Amino acid sequence: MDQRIPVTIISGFLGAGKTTLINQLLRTDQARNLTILVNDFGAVNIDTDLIIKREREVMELSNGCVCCSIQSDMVAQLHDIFSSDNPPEYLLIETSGVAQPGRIASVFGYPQLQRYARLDGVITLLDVSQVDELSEDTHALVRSQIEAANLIVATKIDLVAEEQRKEIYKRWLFEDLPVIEARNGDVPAELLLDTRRYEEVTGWDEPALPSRFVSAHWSSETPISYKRLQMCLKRMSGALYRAKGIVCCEEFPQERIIFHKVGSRVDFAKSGKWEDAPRTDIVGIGYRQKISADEIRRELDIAQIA
Amino acid sequence: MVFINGRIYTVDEDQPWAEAVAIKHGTFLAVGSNEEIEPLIGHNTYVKDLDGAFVMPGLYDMHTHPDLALGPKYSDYLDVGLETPDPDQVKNAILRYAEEHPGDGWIFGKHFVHYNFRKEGVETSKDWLDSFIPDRPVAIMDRMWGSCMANSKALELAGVNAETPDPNNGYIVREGLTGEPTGILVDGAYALIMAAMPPPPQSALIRAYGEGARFQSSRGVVATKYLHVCENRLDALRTIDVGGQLPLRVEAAISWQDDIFPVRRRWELLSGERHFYRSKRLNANAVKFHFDGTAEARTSYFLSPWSGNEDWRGSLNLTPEHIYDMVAEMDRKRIRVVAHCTGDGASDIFLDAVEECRRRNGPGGMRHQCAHSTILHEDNLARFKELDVIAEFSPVGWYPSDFTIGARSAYGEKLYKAYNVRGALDHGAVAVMGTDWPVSSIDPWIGFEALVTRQNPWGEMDGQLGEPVTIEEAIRMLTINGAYSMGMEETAGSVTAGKAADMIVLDQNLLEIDPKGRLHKTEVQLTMLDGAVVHDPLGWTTDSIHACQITSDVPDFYPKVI
Repeated sequence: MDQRIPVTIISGFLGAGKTTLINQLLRTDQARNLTILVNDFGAVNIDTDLIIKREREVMELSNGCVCCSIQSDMVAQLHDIFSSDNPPEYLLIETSGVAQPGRIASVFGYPQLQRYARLDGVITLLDVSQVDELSEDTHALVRSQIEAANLIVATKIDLVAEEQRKEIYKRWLFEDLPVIEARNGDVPAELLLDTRRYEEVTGWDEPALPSRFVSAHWSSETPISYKRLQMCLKRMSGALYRAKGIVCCEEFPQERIIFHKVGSRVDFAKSGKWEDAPRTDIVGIGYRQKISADEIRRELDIAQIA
Repeated sequence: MVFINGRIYTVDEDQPWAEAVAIKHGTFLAVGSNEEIEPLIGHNTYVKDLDGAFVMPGLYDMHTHPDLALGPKYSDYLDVGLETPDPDQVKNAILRYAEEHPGDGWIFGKHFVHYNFRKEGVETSKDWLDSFIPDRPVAIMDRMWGSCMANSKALELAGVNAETPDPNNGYIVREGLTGEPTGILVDGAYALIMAAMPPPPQSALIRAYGEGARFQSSRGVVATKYLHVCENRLDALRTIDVGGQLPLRVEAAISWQDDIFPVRRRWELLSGERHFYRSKRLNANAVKFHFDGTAEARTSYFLSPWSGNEDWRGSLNLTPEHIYDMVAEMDRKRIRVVAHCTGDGASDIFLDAVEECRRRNGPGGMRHQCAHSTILHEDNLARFKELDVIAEFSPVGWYPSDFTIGARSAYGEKLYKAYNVRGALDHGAVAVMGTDWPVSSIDPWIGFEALVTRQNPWGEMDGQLGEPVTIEEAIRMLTINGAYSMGMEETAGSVTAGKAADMIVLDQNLLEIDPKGRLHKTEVQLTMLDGAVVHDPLGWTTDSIHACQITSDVPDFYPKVI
């Protein structure tokens, strides 16, 4: 099973609420030992001071703006962190407000880091009260932050009426990119971070979540089409924040296929031969306003029908 | 030819000042007072009264790259021409380019924007490109984060398929279960595409070097080093040289690595093919390599950690043992090794390698060059003289600017010790300057001024970064020291009888002005190389047999100061 260190990148323009969100994660999420890496721009490191240090480690990547330099620095430093005697259990990277997270995310695809770490997702915070007011130059940056995102967390939502928020999402975001509306920086950690490693998922229970979210578990002993499963996940993409599964695919009947969906991104991988009878288990978390647990299961049923 | 009534600063310690020079067969026949020179005037002698103008030897820019600065711009690549094109606009631009460039050649250029594709629900992939242009290779760069989208034909020609391993510092985006490339190549992976592409057209390289050299010459440069060349670049330089349009001496350094562009004939060139290019103006008896990285990327290699509480010291691209053997072997072949060393750890190993080379090869070896010398260790300053290694400094970080204070902030306290020209000179080193265009301006006068002020030449930012040197020292660095670094200090680099007649006439006396904000504005009124006028903006020689043979317009490569 995948033992690599999960990594989540938190991005968002200056003032979008990254620090609030990270503090909230540090406060509420006792299950994971999070290590925070702060990537700040320039010499002045304001953000670090705002992070509650607690007993957890805060590392700095004060190399100026990594996004405008070649990537090897970041690879080398991350490599040092991951291969140290005391590697993090879960790495959270807070990018600078003016960083392009896509550049940071892309280093996790490099062969040097693939051994150690697995990019779980890029989360971009969108301050709905501010985004339309920014300058044209800044819009290009915000677009690049959105483009790199797998999940959007909308912040300051109490300052903008619901109808207007929908307009903003429509104008700025993509069909397949789910939005979580944060209320006072409060977002369940299960939505943002990789909740459990596969081997810890016992019984595929549906996690308990606040009522505006739904979770669904689906299982089957009949193989499912890889192609149709991909299409099914794509159809639900904008409504389903996270999903993961161990799948028996028609196209690869001998092999355990695992997948991991974080927002708009789905990663499939082969994970060895089936030892027991093949069986597909999928669990997903969605947004109740957009999808119900029954609908999630129904979509998966459809994917299975030839 | 005779020039009289000048204020000639000769950079010759035996005769620091002169009034007049006589020139014959490309060399200074005599240097002295008006009275000493006047008897040499015959009827056919061209005589120019300098009317008190300041004259000095021509300048030496010992590290620059016109090809990298201009080559891509002149290569006629695809340019969609829009900041944020949508998928249809990208498609139309590719089809239009294909129509204007018929055949089955590569289509390469910029740019698309991932965001706009996602916004329209179009997946960036080889399939999208294949859907409208399947039959010739196409690759287009994205605007934001260093990725490239290639079609199936381009991937095929580049040998990129499910079996291709990811290169260092990048990866091939793949379909999860089959490993098939999707057509998106990230960071280092798009080098796979670049390697399959034909080199930049010769016309682009010829134009880039031609214009770069013309500009340099118009700013008084008589000799330069173009670091990083391949066989195509040497061909381009030779074309300009053979056409009589090379207005300066060029020492070209063959790239030791393929990290900037592939050098297909590296070993042939180093074995002897380089001599094919040799002329009075051109030689390729040098090799350039990248040893460590840069400040921005924190890959400069240091003897001590980057900052106190961590272990990171930067990285080396090649092992010290590799450098030892390579320097010794190149030295035996009389090839100069120019080593990119930004961190003090890199220059430390390079100096060790030269020391080992001297031990293996004995005295009389080449003068190897430590390029950039951004941060030097105090204990190494004296070794430059001991080992006869050239300390080359590039002006990009010599003065306070947004770049030095902002982008280079990673250096922290080290920033204030960077470019220790003062220390190198105090320890007897031969220091030279290289403009390192496009990293900094190709106009040598900007770095020249900052050498003596270590302040921002345009007053954009207050303060001083590092210790200045005197104007006399700076002049030596840009003249005789340059000639020394090319192994020609006996035949050029000062206004001395018997030496090559290289000189420049200026609009102001550099030793009398307050340099701050003024020195970089110095105008060059005449550039002479080997007794030939190569730049004559005021038309002094127009009606004579010495008329300037270089008549192309001077391109404007001055930095844009807002």
